[in-house]
Amino acid sequence: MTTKRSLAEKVFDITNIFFMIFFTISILLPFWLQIVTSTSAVSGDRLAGFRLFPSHFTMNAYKLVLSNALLLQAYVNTIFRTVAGTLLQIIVTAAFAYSLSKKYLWKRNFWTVVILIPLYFSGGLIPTFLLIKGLGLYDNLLVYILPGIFASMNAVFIRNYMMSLPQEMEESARVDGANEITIFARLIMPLSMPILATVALWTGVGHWNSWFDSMIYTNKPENSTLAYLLYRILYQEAQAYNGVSRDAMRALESQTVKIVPESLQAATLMVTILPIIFLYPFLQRYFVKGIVVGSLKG
Amino acid sequence: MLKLKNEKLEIYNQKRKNVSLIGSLKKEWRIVKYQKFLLFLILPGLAALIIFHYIPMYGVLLAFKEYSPIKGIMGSPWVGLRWINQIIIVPKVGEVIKNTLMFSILGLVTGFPAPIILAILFNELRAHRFKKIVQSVSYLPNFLSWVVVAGLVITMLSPRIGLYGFIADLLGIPKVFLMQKEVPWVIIVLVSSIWKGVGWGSVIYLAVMSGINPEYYDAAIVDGATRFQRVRFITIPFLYPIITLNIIFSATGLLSSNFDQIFNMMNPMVLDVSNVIDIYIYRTGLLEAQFEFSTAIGLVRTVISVLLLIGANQIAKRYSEYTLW
Repeated sequence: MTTKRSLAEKVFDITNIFFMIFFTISILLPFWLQIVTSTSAVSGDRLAGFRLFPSHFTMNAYKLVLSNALLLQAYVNTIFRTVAGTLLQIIVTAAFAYSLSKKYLWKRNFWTVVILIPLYFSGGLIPTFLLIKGLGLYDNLLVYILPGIFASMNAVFIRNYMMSLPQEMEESARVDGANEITIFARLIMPLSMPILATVALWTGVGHWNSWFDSMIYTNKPENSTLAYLLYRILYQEAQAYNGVSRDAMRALESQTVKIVPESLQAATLMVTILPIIFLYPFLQRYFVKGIVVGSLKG
Repeated sequence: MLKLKNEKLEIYNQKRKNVSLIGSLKKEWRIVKYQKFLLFLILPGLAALIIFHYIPMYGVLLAFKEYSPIKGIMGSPWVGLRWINQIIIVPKVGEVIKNTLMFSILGLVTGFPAPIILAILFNELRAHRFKKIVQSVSYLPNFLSWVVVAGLVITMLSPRIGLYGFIADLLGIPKVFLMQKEVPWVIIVLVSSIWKGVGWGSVIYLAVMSGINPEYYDAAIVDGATRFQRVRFITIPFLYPIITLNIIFSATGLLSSNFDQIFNMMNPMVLDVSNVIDIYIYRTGLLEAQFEFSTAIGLVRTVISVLLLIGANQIAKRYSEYTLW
């Protein structure tokens, strides 16, 4: 049903569209500025003011950044924790959630309370730190994976989704002679793919972005995650370029234009977020699917 | 079928009171045996929960001990309420609580309405493709870490290469390092927090709006309601339950701050105002190695937060149909 729009409504609609354009620019501009900074070089000794397009366009900052062995190692560490950490967490969490989705599970309410308590009550920073040290996980790459192997909130989301699946399918599978394992692995898990994909994306992004555990649980630079390396390069500049080889630096400085630290920082930042930016357009609808499903059915 | 068997067992369970202890144990054991696959599935998760969440909980005993690395937490001598008392005595703690409350209250006042307003504006957009694109872009910052977002903010506000420098030049205002002045820094923290979270925060409200039956709007149009009246008297009332619920439970987070954000944005010039509880726990605990004192602060904070949660749930029970338990 449509009605004639009043003048006030037209003004509102146009304002709204302008606001949205402004809002979109406010989100994209900061990224664009990083791209510009990372591809700029200088002929003097500092970058010349705010620019919408690079001055002396060059990819040298990226060459330098990618010649940093520490950064490549951080990349490997981060991919490792993202892939292994996400897969393990989904399997362990979904298995728990599957059992919880059965109303007749032995001591079901007790298990539910057991997974919910850690959401509100934790031992805190120091006791956890002492535990990690005690378990020998300090400066060990497994520290990125094992503590996050089960996620309570995700278990609740997955459980809710599984409970919303029609019972009949499971029962007819049983009539056809499917055993417990087949029903879980071949029926319920594939049917739960939408929520598993969503939760996996959240977990994966969380792993990709993690820096705090890297900061407190590792000491050797080669155990750093990408996000923590970026933290050091952005905010503790002095020690950060250790990994950039002197020769590479000198080779590029002999030219008439120079790369400044700001460009290196921006290039590192871009290298860190590129996988997310590239994958985001293809995956973004899965991000949203789950939050809507999970929250409305809870 | 297994389910039927289980239902029978449930009936047995209810009659259990009349049966002897050994008999009931036997029946429990039979249920466990029937459900061995389900129980097997929860084992890995349960092990992870116990090791990484429940075992550290006994570490809160540190708050009542004098920690000695050689003797371990259990072997260290008790010191009673020494550290809890210290929380009251140390003048810094008052300042830290003040900062924390300031950030959470200002964050609530500015950050809470933002996603609701954005969701309503999205909902009023007619151009479908345009709406989809803007929405997708608006979720993006939520998926970046604060390390990255702080970096973006710092570049944008740089007096030399940032947009801030450009605008200040244009208007002829003297340029300063905004990140190094307390009041601008607080505003930057609040605004960047909205920037990062507003798009994603609007998803939940949009989901509620998409569930509103279009007949309400059609009926309102027949009655001659303008667009604004439709928003005011249909859309917003449908959001009331979720808004009420969110407001009530946001009280739970009064003593928590966004550690990631503040840690990445702070600098030596804003040390005083950026010292919130989460930062203080990190500093005293890991940097100054006052394990016991840091744990004591964390414990007191947790206890207060749990009390706030229970209170919030009571209020939610009274004023809204949704509760946590």
